[in-house]
Amino acid sequence: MTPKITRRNFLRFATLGAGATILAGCANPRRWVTLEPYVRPPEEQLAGVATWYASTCRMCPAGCGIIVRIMNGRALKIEGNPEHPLNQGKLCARGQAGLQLLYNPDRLNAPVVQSGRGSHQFRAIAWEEGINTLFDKLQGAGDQVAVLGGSSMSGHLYDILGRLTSAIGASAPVIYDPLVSMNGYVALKDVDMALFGKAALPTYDLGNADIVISFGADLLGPGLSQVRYGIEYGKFRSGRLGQRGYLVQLEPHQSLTGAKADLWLPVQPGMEGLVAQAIIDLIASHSFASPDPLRVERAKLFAGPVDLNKTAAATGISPTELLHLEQIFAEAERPLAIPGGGLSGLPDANASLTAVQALNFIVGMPAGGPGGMSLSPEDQLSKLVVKPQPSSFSDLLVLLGKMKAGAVKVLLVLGSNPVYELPLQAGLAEALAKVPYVVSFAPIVDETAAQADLILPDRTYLESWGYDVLSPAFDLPVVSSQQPVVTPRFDARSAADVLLTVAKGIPAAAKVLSWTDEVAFLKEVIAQFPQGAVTGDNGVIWERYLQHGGWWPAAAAAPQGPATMQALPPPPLQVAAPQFLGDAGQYPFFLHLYVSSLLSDGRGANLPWLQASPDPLTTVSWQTLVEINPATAQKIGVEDGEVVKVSSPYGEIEGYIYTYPAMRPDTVAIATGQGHIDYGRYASQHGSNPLLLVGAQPAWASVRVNVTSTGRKVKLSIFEWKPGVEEGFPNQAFPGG
Amino acid sequence: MALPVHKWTMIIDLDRCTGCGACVVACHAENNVPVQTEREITRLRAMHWIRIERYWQGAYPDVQARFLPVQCQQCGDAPCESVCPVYATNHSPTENLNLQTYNRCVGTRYCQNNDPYKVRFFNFFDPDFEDSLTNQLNPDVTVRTAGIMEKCTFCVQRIRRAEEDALSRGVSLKDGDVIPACVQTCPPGALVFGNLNDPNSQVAAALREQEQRSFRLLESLGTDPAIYYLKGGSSHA
Amino acid sequence: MRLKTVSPVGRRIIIAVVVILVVAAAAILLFVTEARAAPAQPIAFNHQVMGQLGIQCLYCHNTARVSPAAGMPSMAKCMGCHKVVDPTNPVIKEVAAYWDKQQPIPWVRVNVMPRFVFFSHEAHVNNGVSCETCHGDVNHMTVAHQVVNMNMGWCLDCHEKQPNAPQLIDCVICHR
Repeated sequence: MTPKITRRNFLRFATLGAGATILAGCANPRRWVTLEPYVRPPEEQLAGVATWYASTCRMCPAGCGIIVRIMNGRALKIEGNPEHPLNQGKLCARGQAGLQLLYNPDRLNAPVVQSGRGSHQFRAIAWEEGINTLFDKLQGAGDQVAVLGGSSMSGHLYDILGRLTSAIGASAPVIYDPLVSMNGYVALKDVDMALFGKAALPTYDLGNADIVISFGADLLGPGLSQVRYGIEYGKFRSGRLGQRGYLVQLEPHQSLTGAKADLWLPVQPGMEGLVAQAIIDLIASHSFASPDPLRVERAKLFAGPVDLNKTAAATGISPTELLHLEQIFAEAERPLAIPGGGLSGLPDANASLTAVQALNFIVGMPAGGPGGMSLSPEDQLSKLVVKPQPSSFSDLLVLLGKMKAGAVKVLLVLGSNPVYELPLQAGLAEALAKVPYVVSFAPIVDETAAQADLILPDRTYLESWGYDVLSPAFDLPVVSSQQPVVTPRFDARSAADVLLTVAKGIPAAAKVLSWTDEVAFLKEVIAQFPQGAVTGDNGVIWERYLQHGGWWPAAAAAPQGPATMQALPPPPLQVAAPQFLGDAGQYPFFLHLYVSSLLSDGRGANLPWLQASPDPLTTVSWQTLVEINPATAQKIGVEDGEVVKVSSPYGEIEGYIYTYPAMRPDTVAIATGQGHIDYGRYASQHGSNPLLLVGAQPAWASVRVNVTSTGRKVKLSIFEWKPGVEEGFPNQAFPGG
Repeated sequence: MALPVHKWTMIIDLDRCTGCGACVVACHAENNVPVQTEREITRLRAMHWIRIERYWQGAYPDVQARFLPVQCQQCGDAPCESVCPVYATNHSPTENLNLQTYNRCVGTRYCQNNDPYKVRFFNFFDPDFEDSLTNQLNPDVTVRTAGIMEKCTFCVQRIRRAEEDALSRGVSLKDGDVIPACVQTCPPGALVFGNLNDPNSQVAAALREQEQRSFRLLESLGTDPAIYYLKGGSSHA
Repeated sequence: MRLKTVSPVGRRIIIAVVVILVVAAAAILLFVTEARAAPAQPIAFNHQVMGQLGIQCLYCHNTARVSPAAGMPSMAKCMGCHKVVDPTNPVIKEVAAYWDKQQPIPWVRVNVMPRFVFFSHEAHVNNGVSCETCHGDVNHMTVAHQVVNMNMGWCLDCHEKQPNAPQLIDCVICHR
């Protein structure tokens, strides 16, 4: 019998009703969470205890070993692999952020076809359909297939691509991304070939050196091997009792390395090679207390007449300073000269790089022993494993030429984002228009995938198999292992497996790619390795290789002998003052383009940790800054936060002014990384892409620009307190020496 | 059974710190620290438990950046502790840490006000971790919601776990068993961590050997920080 | 102000508001860690049978000594015995049905702590705290249920009593 609700007892019922509702709502919801045990527990897993899996970081080409903390099948934290010879348990900011690539919300969860390039109308398809489509297109293209890849590609994928293209008669894959040119991989190898007889990247034993002159090399920032040089830097400073190394940095805009140098010299952009040449000339013509009498003799192999005043005028380094540099270098026991990647972006890159590497030659490198320059030993492994060969910019232009001529029917793009990365003048848009079918393997739709017809999203590196032959490797050649640390998301298929499947249907390819899947391929490659430091003998080599993070020999090979000299050009070495592109009247400033330490060349922009962390030198996040000297800002009448247009002969971008004290007044500095229009929610519509200011030639470091105000001003998303910007944290005084 | 009293101490060698920022990202990953949008940062609401303060020393052309990593100093006599009306922040006499108990915090922000190092951060909003990114969250650390103060804890979850694991293995904690995320990742080895009560620890040795280089931030305030900095530059041979 | 001097409607409103507040407070204070009646489980698991056979807690909840979590036995562990032990029992048949489908049994949590409490089994088991101290006489429970209100006061009652262990009343022992 339901009680009747009357006006009199309404409140009574309402209270009881409210009370009951509150009671129900306040009960602990965790009681209705179910606890689901494993059906078959993996042997190594205990509840609440994490397991760690070793793999290799692929956020840049360095190849640091990592271990990943896994709990309940989720990757929670990445750390450096303590056993790995390259990074010895340490890791940089980009490496730490890799988890956000694995769990990025903008990852494609299935292959897609795009109806109309650039339309962003994607239709999800089944993997079978995607693979069949790729197969059909490849079969129909014969030998008119081209492959463009990035420099962080796994060696085994490059090997498979190489065998596939060779089998069908197509050209070898082109490996190109901005890091290839901005780190100078190809140019450095060419110079080492000429000077030292081996086409290998140089490595510098910074930790044991006493005097280091760096010609614009940002060792401590994103360069050839940030983590390893960071470790070496620690040793360089306080690793040896009673000895603290002395570092000189020559660059127009202060980098992290410049900030840590004992002497920072703001050299005129592009003139670093002239300083090196001046030092060579001085060593040849002076006498001094050198520990090695051959230095003078070797210097004479390169030297010409000395004109200190002319060099001083051109470079901005005074004669006194030049003499000082020559003296400390020539008299040091273990001196090092390190060339910056920027030198490879000059018109006469070869001469500038040769001048710097010649300094190492002069002091007897490569000689083995501590504190010197060595040549990366990965060629010792060339018979065992294949590794990606970075292509020069001219090789890339050859590929674009073929595309424009209609000679490419199918283009495969893996790990590279050329629509974002290449200068407009290279004509990529025109070239793509002539390619009937473009396939991207990008896991997140980037600018290039947005111009593709089919996207077969690859697994991210934390879910991938593979290996990386370290380049540069330091004392030991290393093959760093890669394994999935979690079950791949979305049933993503690896590009290597997709290609192996497709190859089975192409008779010429099936002969050379007979493996059922990439793991079978990898096992066969690894099984032929000799006994290494951690891999034991035949029976467990694969397991140990995965468990410890790779293969490396127990001891370094015998040190290389003194350099052979047959390929040297006759003296004098003539480093020409570079001709900057753009008329000085119209474009009054030198453009100093540099790689962002968090965003890299743009590949890190889709990761919120990297976007939101303050840039180390400017403390700004999410934005593109146009850095200029405060005096220059005053002269042209702009202030912090002012929106300006930066224009070069090749393009124009917008950015926000940031007055940066440690840079030359005649230079404008812009970091790479922003300016995406695709690539996910964290990357798109932030900042501008300074790569658009560069023209279609390898000399990316010799462009002039102009800066004009738009009249608008924005608030900088800045972490520090900067006068005139906003209030922030108050303490300005630096307490130490 | 008497458990040992730890005096967790960090040494930051300013000569080695290159300002690379690996520690900043490592801390975000380990401690579920949310990221802020461009807009929020313009409103001075950036949150980084450890930050690299970058100062300029000198004027062009003799100017260089100097890096100072700053996180909660774990003061022995913390100004933030005495002002919390609900005792959400207090001192651990056995770990010598300044503790933050998130579930007790009501968000008066008085502690942030009193903190001279400005290392305490307030959650103005519920953190917005996109769906798939929540897979990465560390289950050993609370995910804070709006209205809660947070700060560096010296990765106390790692300290506690190491202590429990040592107990279950029947061994005592040794130097190097506990390593916060920032210390673990730092490539030049600028950060060193350990128990100062252990005379054989790295931190004790470093302070003995490099006493002339060491200093603490704002020492004259009498906060007794647990972080010792070693002077940078050629302050040592 | 005396209740009698307020108008009848006003009186009712005041009483209603007070009752609502008291009920809300009670709900909040009592429900978080209350030992309620045993929640319904998908399978009528009977700990008493296990206890009578002398099976140790740690056999199934095997990570209690090395991990903060005690762990739940996997399906493989159940079937390890029950492939041959009493397979015709209707309850065992239900378990086998899950195993045949290769699916885990969705057990409902019995002992509950709020999310900001990081309880560690490892710390307790290795300090000689027996399972029964907190979980009661599970060996004689036919249906598993929470026996005490596991609120902070109850935890502190024991923590405060331990000799030579001032760490145990540190906030950070449970809250991180």
